[in-house]
Amino acid sequence: MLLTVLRRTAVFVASIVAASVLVFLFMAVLPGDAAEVSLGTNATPEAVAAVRAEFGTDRPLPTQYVDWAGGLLTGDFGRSLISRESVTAQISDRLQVTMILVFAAMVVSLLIALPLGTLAAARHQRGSGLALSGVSQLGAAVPAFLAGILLVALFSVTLGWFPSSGWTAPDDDFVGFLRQLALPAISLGLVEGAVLTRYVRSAVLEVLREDFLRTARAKGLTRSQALVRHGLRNAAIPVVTVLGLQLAALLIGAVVIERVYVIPGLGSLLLDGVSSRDLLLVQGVVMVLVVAVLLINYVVDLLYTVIDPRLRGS
Amino acid sequence: MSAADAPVPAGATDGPAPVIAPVLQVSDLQVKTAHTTLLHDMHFTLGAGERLGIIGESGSGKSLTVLSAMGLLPDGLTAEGSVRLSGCDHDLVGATEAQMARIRGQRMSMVFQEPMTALNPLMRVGAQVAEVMLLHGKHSDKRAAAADAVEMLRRVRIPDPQATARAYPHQLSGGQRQRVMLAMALSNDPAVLICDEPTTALDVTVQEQMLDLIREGVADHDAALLFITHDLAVVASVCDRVLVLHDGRIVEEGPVARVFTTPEHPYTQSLLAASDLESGGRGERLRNAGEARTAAAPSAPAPSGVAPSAGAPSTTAAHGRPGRAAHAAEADEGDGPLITVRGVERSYRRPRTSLRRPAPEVRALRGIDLDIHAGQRFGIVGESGSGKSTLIRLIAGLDQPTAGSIRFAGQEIAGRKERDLTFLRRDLQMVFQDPMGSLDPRMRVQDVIAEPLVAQGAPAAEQRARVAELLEAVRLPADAATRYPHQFSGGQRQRISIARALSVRPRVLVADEAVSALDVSVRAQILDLITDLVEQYGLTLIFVSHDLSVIRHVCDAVAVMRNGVVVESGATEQVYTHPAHAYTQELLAAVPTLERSLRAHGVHDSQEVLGR
Repeated sequence: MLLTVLRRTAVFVASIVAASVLVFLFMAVLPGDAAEVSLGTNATPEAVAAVRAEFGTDRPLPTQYVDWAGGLLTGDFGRSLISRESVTAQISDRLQVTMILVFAAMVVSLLIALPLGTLAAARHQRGSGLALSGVSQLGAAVPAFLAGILLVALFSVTLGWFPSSGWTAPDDDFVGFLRQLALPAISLGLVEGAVLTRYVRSAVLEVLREDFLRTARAKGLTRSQALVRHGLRNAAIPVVTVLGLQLAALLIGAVVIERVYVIPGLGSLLLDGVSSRDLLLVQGVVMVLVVAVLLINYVVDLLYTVIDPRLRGS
Repeated sequence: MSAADAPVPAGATDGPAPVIAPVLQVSDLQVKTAHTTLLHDMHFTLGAGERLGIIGESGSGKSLTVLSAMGLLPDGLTAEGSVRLSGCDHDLVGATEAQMARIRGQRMSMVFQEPMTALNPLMRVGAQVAEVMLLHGKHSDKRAAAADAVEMLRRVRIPDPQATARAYPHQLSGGQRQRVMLAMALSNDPAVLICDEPTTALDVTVQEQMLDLIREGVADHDAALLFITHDLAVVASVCDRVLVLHDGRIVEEGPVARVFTTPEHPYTQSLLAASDLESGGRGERLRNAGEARTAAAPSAPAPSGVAPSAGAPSTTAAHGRPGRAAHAAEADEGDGPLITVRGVERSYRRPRTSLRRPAPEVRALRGIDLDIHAGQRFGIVGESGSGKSTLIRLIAGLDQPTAGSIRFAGQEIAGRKERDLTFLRRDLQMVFQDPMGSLDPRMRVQDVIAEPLVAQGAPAAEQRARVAELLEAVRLPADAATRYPHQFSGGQRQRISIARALSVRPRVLVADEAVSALDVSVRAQILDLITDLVEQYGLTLIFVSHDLSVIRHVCDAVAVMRNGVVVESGATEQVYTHPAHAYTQELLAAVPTLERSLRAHGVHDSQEVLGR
């Protein structure tokens, strides 16, 4: 068990190091010099060189990497070339917003997928199961931004129940925060929930065919008791895999949804950074996203060993 | 334990059955799909404490019978008729899921065939045993139930029940898992214990222990037993009375001693004949249940050694095998063994489990020495984990030994690269156990059989001619070539596998548990086919099996393996009649034979046993 955890942790750390090198190299080979952009078109070569010297972008790449990666270890993402502000401060503000959004969307999608997927599997031979399966297929085909626009049209424009855009911090006004979170979280979670429903359904169907469910019924559990007590935990193994992939997809989906609802999250920060050629900022945001995805995979790997004793080694 | 020694009380052989109150009464039971009826007019009663066997081949309706009594029929099947359980005021057919749930695991419990998948892999086995007691109110306190679960595990003689209760199913062997299933089934003192092929997936020595436990279990709890099996010797050793099922109907019913000595129905007679590997000498043809089924009369044993269709296959032999065999003999330089195995070892490394200790090593084979001569029928017998499959993988060049030498026709194959083994791919072909899994479902039979030829670059016309010839040799219709594997039965698929193996005219045919997944009558046909083909084509046969009687029937020499070592080898008759090694003796004693089982029922004359 301990060995398994150590092995997974080593892989996690190694992946982060590799990812940081890739992110750094990718940004370095991209055309467009932040120093030139920040000084405008009329800058003299001397001024550009001075800015480069100030930010250290005139040094060799390995030195720049070590400098940047060393900063990451202490939580220092450097200073933006454009706004001259600390990248760390900008990211940490925005990260919190995105995390809340992604987490809320995840909850929405689980609330949809777990009951509906299980029901669709348990009733797979009846009309209701087929109908659920059809609806989830349709839902999976709708892009998140379209769902967002439709929800806004219905709930803010027509009914006026929720605001159509903006963000309120939970500390300032908790009710306002929830009202503003509702539509973005639902539009993001609805689609992922529909996709997840299909995975839950097939995982539960698979488990329903297992011999040990028949054993459970032979012991005196009813069909539904057997499914709940013996089936669902077994069905969780494939679902957790998909959940990890979906969290990553939600992070990316959040970038788009933040634009639709004008939410000050990581997504908008990333897009701003790209348009202003703020190299260090983009690099920082991408790195945070990559670490988040790796972290999710790492946690999923550990979850397997918690759920499934067969993976714990002897 | 006396229950183990005497399957039936003396005197049960003759005279009317004693009148006992029935615990289970099945009448007019039918099982239907939307389109057809799978089970017709089942009528039988099970008396208190009685042990009733249900025998029949796959698809005969054995399992459907008990599953409908348990209310566990697969989706899409419906039961009609009546199943009454004593002390229960409603009919079990048509009872609600909630009503059945109260009966299952309490008044009626069941042990299934497949020990590997029947337990929840995520739950400790003690908790799984405790669950059934908590569920039916034997204990209301979790701790008391857990303690009782350990006690139940002790009663099915699981070593160290305390520790086993905390183990997960994957940490137990198949035999131990099946004991856990039995412990669960017996937990609430059921009135009826149903066992559906409970020992089919187990090794013989483990099977013997399991059968003892079942006999003891029902005796201790005064439960009635409904025991399903395809193995006649097993049913004779466990049950008092049998039902013989065929195509969803009971064709014969009666006390074991009567049914197995003077079977009345032709199907029962053919079943007995097909499973009788003991009495016939090696190589003698088996009487075929299939033939009897169509003829609806007891079939006479076919004369031994006669090729069934004298046409094409023998011409094949004329311009095919013998030429090559002669050529091969020259290459062999005299009459040394065709295959020589010397000091072969094979070890595997398991993944590390600790930082301090090195990765554990599994020694699958240790110091194997064998000689297999051309034309020999060489049997390798052993229980699961004995290393027999590892050994033939090495001989077939599919894996490399860690140490030692394997020579095939004078050429060393150990340590050689895949591409240097093309001669071996041509000269040695294999037939595998699983007739379902070993054929690609998306390839037509034509392409399946021709694949080894394609691999060797034979022209298309020759491939087609060869496929037609082979289909005839394995007695499949010519139009089989254009069909897909799933359109064939298990036995027919095994014929296709054999045809594929023979397509490149190999010198050696390796059969790895080739008949283990087949019903007795089909098994008899395939064994006949293999022995015929070996003779016709002058093949050397390496036959691997866990089944001692099959090996005895087919092979002239045998090696007995255990824990990666050959404990004994020699001429088959010698090894079987005078086993030198204690393990061979133990193995032979564990094999249930009809003769031995029936002796316990008071039948002594072996001729009588065979119904001749």
